[in-house]
Amino acid sequence: MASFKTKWRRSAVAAGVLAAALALAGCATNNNGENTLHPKGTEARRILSLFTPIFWVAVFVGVCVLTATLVFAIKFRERPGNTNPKQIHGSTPLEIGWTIVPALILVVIAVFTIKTIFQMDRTLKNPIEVQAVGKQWWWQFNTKTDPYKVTAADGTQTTATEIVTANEVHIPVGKNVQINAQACDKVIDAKGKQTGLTNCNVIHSFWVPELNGKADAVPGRDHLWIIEADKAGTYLGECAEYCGLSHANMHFRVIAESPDDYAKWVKQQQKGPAQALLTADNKPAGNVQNLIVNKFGCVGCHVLTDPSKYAFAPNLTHLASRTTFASGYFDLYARDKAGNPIYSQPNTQKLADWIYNAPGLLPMESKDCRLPPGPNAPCAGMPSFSQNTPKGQATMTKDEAMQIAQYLLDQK
Amino acid sequence: MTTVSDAISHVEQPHQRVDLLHRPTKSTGFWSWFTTVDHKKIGILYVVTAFVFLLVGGIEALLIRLQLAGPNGKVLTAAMYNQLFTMHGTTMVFLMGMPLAVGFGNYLLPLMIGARDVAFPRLNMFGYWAFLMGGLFVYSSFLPWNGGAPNAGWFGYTPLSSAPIGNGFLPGHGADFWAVGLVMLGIGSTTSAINFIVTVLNMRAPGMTFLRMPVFVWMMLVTAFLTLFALPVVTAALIMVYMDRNWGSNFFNSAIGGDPLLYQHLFWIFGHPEVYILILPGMGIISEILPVFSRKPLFGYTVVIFSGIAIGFMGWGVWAHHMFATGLGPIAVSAFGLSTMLIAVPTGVKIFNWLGTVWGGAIRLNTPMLFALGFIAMFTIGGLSGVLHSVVPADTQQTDTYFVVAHFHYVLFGGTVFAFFGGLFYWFPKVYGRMMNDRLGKWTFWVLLVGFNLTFFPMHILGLEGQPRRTYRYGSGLGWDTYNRIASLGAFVIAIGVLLLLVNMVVSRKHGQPAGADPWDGRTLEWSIPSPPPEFNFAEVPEVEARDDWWHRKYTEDDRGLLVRLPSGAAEAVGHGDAEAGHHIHLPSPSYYPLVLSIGLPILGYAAVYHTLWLGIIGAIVLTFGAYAWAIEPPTAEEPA
Amino acid sequence: MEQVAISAGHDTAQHSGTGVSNTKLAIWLFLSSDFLFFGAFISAFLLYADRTPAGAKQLTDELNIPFTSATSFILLMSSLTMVLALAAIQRGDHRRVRIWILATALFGAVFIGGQVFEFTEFVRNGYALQTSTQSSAFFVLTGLHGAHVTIGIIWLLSLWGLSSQGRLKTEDAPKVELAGLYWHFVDVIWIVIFTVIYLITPLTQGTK
Ligand code: HEA
Ligand code: HEA
Ligand code: CUA
Ligand SMILES: [Cu+2]
Repeated sequence: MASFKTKWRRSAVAAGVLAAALALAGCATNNNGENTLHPKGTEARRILSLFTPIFWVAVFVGVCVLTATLVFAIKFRERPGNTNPKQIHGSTPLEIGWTIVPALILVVIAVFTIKTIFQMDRTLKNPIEVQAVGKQWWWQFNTKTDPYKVTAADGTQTTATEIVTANEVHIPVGKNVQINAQACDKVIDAKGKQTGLTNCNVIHSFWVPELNGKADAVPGRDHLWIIEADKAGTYLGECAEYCGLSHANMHFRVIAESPDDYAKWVKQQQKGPAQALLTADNKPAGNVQNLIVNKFGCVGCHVLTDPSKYAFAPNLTHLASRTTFASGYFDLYARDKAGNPIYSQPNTQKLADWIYNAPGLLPMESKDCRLPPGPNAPCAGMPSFSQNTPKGQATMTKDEAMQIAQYLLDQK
Repeated sequence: MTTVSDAISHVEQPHQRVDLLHRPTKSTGFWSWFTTVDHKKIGILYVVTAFVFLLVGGIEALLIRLQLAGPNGKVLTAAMYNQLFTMHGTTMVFLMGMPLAVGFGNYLLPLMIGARDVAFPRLNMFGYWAFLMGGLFVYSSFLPWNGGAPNAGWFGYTPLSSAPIGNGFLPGHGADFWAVGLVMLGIGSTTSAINFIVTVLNMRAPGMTFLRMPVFVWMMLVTAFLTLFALPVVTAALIMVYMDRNWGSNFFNSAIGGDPLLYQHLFWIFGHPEVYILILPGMGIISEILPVFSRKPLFGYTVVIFSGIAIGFMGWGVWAHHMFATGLGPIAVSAFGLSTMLIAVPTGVKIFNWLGTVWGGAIRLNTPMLFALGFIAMFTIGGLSGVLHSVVPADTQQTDTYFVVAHFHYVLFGGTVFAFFGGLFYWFPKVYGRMMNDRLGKWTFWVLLVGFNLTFFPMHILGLEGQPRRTYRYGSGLGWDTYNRIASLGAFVIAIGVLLLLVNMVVSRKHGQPAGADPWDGRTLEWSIPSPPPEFNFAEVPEVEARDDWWHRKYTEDDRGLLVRLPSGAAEAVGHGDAEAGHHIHLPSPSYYPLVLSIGLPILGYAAVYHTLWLGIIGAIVLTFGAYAWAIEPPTAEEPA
Repeated sequence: MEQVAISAGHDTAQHSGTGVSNTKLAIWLFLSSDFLFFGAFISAFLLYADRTPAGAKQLTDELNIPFTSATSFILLMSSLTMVLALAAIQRGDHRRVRIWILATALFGAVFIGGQVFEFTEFVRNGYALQTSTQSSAFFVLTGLHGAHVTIGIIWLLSLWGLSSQGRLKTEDAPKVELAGLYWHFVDVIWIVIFTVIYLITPLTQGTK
């Protein structure tokens, strides 16, 4: 039988191994684009530098308790000579001690925690404002811009102050961006005043791990949240609140670029559609356009001609300027080694498959659903145009899907 | 064991006598399980049923882990996965954790306080049936014609759970089964909470003062109060969900001003006390095990009790720590972060007192003790990750990731389940008069410990590396593959451990070593009576003279504080009364009506889900009949002449 | 419901640790739990009290305060008759017991009748469960209270039935006391609800 000393040492080694395991957790080097341990912006860095020391305090406390458990269990084992222990009922000084010491540790933790809470809760002066609106299962981003003119097919002009994109949002590097996470669209009257809410969805959560923590998008509420990125690049985002069937697939991307590139992007998004959908007298401008407008009624849910409007489904006016589709699940273009899209190699086939039968690619709850969904027309996600077609509605051919895909990929 | 499980599987065809008014008289045999009012039998029913639900919830967990074993898993569809994690959480919390505690409490409370039964034997039986009916009702949603099981997560956030089916947010009737079923389970839990409180407050043996009560009794008392005050709040929330979803009310319809956060507040005002409802009984169990196997009294008995009460109180002031990412504002989150951290103090006090109990003892490392020590270690890890959650800014990164999943499995499995398993080994000999195999038990412990850490430790890392919870698949290339593989492997190691435990219980019940009345050299009253205890528990109601009364009848301390065994016989004389004595003891009689009454519940449940009036009327008739017949039936049958 | 079960049945009559009988303690516990149940709905109502969207029907336009005050007063009176019923059975005056119990149930029924009238009237005027968040909270809260009163009425009528058959003896006074506790509780809850809905809400919403 090993002596008491070796046993003690053995348990200390075990505790050490455990500590090492914990340490491993602390220094994981995985660089997957959504690792909270690899912050890439001010807010996320602030969080990590609060978390790290507290984490080590916790590890320390944990190692103490675990070691004590192990050591006591071995040291005080019943063996000949140790069968009749002294009956200790308690000790007031000890009780006081182990009440106060943890309390003091927690006070320190609390002070830093509360300090950081208030540091992070600040209002920005003239920020770039983005409304992030959670939908089943994609994100709509309304980015505030300087006023610009939108020209409709019949030539009428309106002034807009937002550009609406889906699943991808651009931000300038080094600038604080004010996200407003929500789950309803606003109803705006002719004078630009908000009069109510529409398209209210379930709760989603806006989360770009490398830039900041989560901001839940709660229907009926505004939730202001700041993100900032140090370097140009693409930051992966996830919907982090369970929101039904395809919650797991609700990805999005924040693309940070130099202020110049950002300005260029805004300009480009403010443009009208690359190809006309409608003629001046509001008729489909061609064959594909007819499929989109009349035969399959895509315009019932999507906006294709106005970068400032939102509807039930993603705004597709500049679909081809994005790098992904289907809530960030599929690449719109082939990617080079560095992961940048190769715009000359579009993923047309995949997009056509999607248009043809989206629920076959991602789980959706859109059986028998077409056209603008309303009460009792359950429609969560994109319907299939090849299956479960409601009575009296056209069924799509693969060729038609391909034509539409090609049309959309021309919409830079 | 066979009789019990048979009883459960037959419950759907209840024994209908032609003449219901003939009072059942049998207190043994298969049918007696349907009509018994004996707290010990009801306790066994609870534990066995809860164990079955542990297996069911565990199998659901195994399916989850199979799906997540690698990137882009194809074992389950998204729809199935969402049902499985919802039902896994719901099962483990409402159908395993709570009833298991009620089962232990049922069996042990009267024995520990020197009573012959609980205060309301028939209400006790009704509580069990309501639990079983509620469980079967929720699980019946899996039947193909019911269109899918609950799929809104175990906390069923609105408006996902509450929007009318016609809106299409959440398909199927799952959310309805969930809301209605939980209300049913709530009725059962509330009745047993009331029963426990009255039993403990009113039925203690002479001399069993509050500060002589075993810690387990104390913790069950606190738990019962938490249950009593937490459940009505969630019941109200569930009714709102049900009304919104089925009858067009607008509690959570944000388009016209409804606030989904109202639901979250109501749910977590219930939900956080609920997690203490799940852990406090476990803390009570290990406070019984540690002193016995250390041959020392519990260190700081009063402090352990008062910290338990403190946890119970403070548990009401922290609920919004589940809502740190919802945008409550800096002042609110600071307050809730602070109050959450504070709970670590009384909890830490408990941990240190347990360590103080072990320190300087003469420790026997039998299986119950291993689980108790495992509890201390694993629960501490879980508690510390809880403290990391209370660091609000950090929690906005951790919330809804696998870091949370790691936290709560450490406290729920490493805490609650470890304590219950320890308790199973500890009290099994009392219940069946036979020991469970200790060697196999030790194997079970180590297999579970290793499997558990393999499963849940990597989840800390996964969470920090960004893996969100409640996702049926994850992409490859995110660096999560290996840790997930390890976690899935671990889950199957846990399953082996659970299987070993199962085998041990089944075999030991018939073939275990005979245990005798007091196999562990115990301290509390239940060890003073034969194993298994006679129907009337105590031939002579004990006069309690000290804390750990039974121990003090066996031992005394000399002036150096060392143990001195009293002449045997002294103990014997008090405890084991001869069975003959039982003839004069008049126990409450069995009854059909708790069962009849509870059968009304699922019928009403179906009526509520499918809006079927005639079914509702039938349910109401059954319910009324049961209630009336119960009310006019005297608790104790006339003594046969 | 469950009578002084065990203690009565036992050879060694168990003393009660608190001095309160098991059943009475149980009903107190149940009522404290039920109080929180109503508390949740009252909170919901308060939260939604002034959130009715413009254009939708307002609760304050519908309330007929004098009418409901009258039925509320009758409900309060029923607490008095309940006390009289208990006093009667404790004296062993079984004829009076039946009279007062019946009176209590009758007052309760009048209150329920008033509520049914109020509900139908509101719905007819276009203020229904579906109208607004506030209407949902109003109907579910008052409706659940009505359900409690109804259960109380059934309970009282059962006691009345027992008494008529001579099965409610003088030593069964605790049974009446239990029903009484429940009944008083339901009344007290109504006072809270009435204050919140009928007195405070119109004040806070002021003149529109
Ligand atoms: C048995 C159940 C149980 C228990 C006991 C606890 C205990 C604690 N929990 Fe946990 N918790 C859950 C079950 C439980 N929890 C569940 C199920 C969820 C998720 C629900 C869901 O979303 O599905 C959850 C989620 C959860 C969250 C929300 C996370 C999120 O979703 O973002 C938070 C946040 O603060 C939290 C905190 C705590 C704290 C501080 C404790 C404390 O009580 C722990 C105290 C213990 C210790 C700290 C260890 C011992 C102490 C010492 C050794 C003293 C010295 C210590 C220090 C000085 C630090 N828990
Ligand atoms: C006490 C509570 C408890 C317990 C014990 C467990 C036990 C386990 N849990 Fe549980 N879990 C929860 C409570 C619990 N869980 C809750 C509340 C959630 C949140 C749900 C939600 O988000 O809504 C959750 C969520 C959850 C998730 C996250 C899912 C997601 O977010 O997508 C995962 C993933 O790995 C998981 C895994 C496991 C595993 C592997 C076990 C294992 O420990 C299970 C071990 C048991 C067994 C393996 C059973 C043994 C079976 C046999 C031996 C077979 C015998 C067969 C026959 C007799 C036929 N759980
Ligand atoms: Cu959107 Cu999850
Ligand atoms: Cu909590």
